Amino acid sequence: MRNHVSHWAAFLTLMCTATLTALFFAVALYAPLAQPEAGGISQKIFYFHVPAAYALYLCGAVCCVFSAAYLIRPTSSNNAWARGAAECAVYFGLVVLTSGPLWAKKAWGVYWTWDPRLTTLLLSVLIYASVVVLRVFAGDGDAERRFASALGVLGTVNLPIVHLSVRKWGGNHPTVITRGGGGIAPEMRHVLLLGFLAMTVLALLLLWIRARNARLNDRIRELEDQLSLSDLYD
Amino acid sequence: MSDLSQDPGLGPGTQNAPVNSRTLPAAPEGRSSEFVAVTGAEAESTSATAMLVTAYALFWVLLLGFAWMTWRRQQRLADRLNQIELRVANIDTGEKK
Repeated sequence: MRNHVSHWAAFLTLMCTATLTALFFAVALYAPLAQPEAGGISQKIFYFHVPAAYALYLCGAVCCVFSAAYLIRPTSSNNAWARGAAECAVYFGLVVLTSGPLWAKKAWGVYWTWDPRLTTLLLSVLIYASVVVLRVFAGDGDAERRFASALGVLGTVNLPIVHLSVRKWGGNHPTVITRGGGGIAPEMRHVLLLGFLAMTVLALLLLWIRARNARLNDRIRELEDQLSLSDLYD
Repeated sequence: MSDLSQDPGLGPGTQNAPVNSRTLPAAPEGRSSEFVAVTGAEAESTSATAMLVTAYALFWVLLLGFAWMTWRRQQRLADRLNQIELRVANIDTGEKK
């Protein structure tokens, strides 16, 4: 079992390194320049900005599923995956929120604007950050875990709103790859798909590491409690 | 002015941007003697390449920061496991005595 786990970790790490390296070279050498209105060379931020947003959705979905599962059946494993997924969602949220404004400065002329998608995404990231902060500072009792799980489910409810905000409320965000958009050049599509693959593998690796970390923390706490109890009876 | 507006790295709004005084010769008559309000976007002067490099660097800084935090947490867990092993070893020694 232990051997199987280390093989899985080695495979994910290798895949992650390979895809991120390939993405770097594809963005630098293969992806063509976009028109100046789209930001010129800074449009290449798109190849990890959009996949990072997708990875945020992925982590949010995992957080929602395991948070709901914890509310129904409170197990250490469900809690560990919900906790790890919220942490990864904050990481990918920060990637999106730091890369986006740098591209926006060239494409829109400003770092930040209260565009519907930006505002709703910021809200989602803040909700996941509050889940992480709650789990770190409010203790790790069953009540705190349930509260964090409920917040994790609510944070994910906001994700479809983030996704649909451009269609419903407009704003500055481009709609090139969504329904009704003009599409992108074939070379751009290849690099974008590579970006999606790289971020999926990275998200899986980070999710797995953080969830395993949280699970290990629970098991150590159980052992410490058992030892304290045996000390008490001795 | 024409060279500035044709730079492929510049964003929207630069075609109709006001003349940047820094591109003019520094003759005394060319200096601004007053400030007047203009309409339209401000001339964008930040480099698109710098933005791309900064965004990519930030991605790696955040990833390495996250990996470092994970490693720190793993180290703390390893320390607690060592403490447990020590306590279990002490219990075993006590029982043997």
